[in-house]
Amino acid sequence: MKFAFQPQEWPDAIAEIEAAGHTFVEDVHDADFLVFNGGPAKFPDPLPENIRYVQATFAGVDALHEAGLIRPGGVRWACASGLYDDTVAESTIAILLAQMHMHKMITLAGKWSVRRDVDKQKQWLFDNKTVAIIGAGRIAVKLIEMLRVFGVNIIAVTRSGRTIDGADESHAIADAERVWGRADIFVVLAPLTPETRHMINRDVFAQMKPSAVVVNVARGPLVHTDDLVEALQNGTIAGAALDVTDPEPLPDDHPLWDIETCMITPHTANTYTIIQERTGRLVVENAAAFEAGERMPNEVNLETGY
Amino acid sequence: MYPGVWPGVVAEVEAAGHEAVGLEEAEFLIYTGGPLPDPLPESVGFVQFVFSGIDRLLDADVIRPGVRWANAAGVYGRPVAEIAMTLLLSQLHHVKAATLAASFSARGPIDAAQGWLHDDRTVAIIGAGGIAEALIPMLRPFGVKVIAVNRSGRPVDGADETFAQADADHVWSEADAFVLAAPLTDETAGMVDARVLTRMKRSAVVVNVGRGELIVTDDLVDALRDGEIAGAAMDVTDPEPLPDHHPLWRLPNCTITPHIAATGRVAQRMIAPQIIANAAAFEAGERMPTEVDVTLGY
Repeated sequence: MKFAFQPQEWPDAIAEIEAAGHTFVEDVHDADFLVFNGGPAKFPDPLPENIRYVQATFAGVDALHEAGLIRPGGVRWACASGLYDDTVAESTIAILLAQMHMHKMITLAGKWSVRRDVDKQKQWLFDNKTVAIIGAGRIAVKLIEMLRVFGVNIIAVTRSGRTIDGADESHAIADAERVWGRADIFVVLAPLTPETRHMINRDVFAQMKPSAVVVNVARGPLVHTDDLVEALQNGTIAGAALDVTDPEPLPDDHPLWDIETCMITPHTANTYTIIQERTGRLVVENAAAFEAGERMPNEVNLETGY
Repeated sequence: MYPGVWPGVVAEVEAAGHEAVGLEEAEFLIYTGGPLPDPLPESVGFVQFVFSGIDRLLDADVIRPGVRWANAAGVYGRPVAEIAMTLLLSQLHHVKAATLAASFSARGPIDAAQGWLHDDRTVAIIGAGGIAEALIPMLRPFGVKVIAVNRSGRPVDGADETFAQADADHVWSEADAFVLAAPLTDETAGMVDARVLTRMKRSAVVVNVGRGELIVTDDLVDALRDGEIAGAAMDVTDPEPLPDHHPLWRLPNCTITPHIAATGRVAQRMIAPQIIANAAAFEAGERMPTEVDVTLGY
């Protein structure tokens, strides 16, 4: 098939797709499918009729869904779901551990005398902790493997409440009030939908233990930012580790930067380097399924947007 | 128990059938560090130190001939391994650099510099003993290759390869990450110096949870500044405490924690079972499980 690659051309990925027998074309009007690696504003709208499906290079396509570019009855879409499960899980446990061991507090202090406070306040993952994973999908399965070794108890929360491999308990999100008061660590991995927006808010923080730590590597608006600032400042919870924020970029003068119990990484749980390395194979596999008249492995449900 | 008395530990040891008494009547001494009477009362059959590293006790002549010693080798394997894992991941994922930048504008450089355990990385554990046993299972889910290096070259469970220290020179240029967990001895002091740092990959990360003196600090500062290696992450430093004005504090590619892996707080919760096991072996006339070989220094 002929494919366009927009808005940024990634030469290594294009070479890998061409090696599988497809042909790169500059003009989207000449292509059979489009590989798209930008935000809604960069999308060719209207999409030419010759494009039979669009392959996004990112796992989360909620912004494209929200913008109406992914819509029921519209063109078929594939995303990169599952492609970065291992790397995102790695980043998740990295910031979770760095938060529990107070790396931000130590860096901000920049001196050895912070030792006594750190020793008192830090938490250990091996210390009979319970980790709740909110939005437990494929990243969670990887994360659970990494967490298991530390002897933690794992509670998985999903929309349906289906049983998640490796979790000690699985609950539906509708029953999540049973979970807020019991877990020590909350990892938010849910897709962003109208139901999940601001799901972690003041009411939820109030039900958590004062020692609770919240980790968000999914989408910033899953957590209500002002409520989080308040919960951290008041000691309602012990800490947060965020790779995503709302707003994003987080302004330089935002109070979260100064809160020593709030660790922030600048949306680097998955990196462009990793994405570019892995995109070629993703495109080739989905294209093969498309040509065979099958559902693509990473096909997006046009109703739900994920 | 001397000179510090930890009530929780005393209660656990008493529950195993021993009795807490004054130093003059003691058959063994649980020692928390600091000055010791010289000579020790003759009744004392062995001294149980509550931490693992005895290098400073040897230097200060606290350990003297005539009495047997046991330490806490391996007792803090899990906490120290958790600290090592945290330091390694925190450095690879640039938590310190992001914290110091305190701005989303750091995204580009951090994205480009980010290191990963995925995919196909090699982690070398230098001084592979009790900490390595706890650390290797933590590394496994990341699909890394693990090289264990120890003094004797005795195979370490779960490691893909094990080498004796004397045969391990090639490891410095092979591995992507190094976890130093060796005791400090004449042989290990300064083992990571300019020569070794130059041989490492430029993407290498060095984690130290052993003793600060395993690394030549000034050589490390140069290597981190010049980009000889990508990063370092240390729970121990030389000098220790690290002075407030030391350049390592401000290097964004050097994660530091102030020796929090096995603190008194951790020791109080974890040491009692080892004391009880050592006392049982001592009473049975056997070698204690964590008996110290004073000539080897660990």
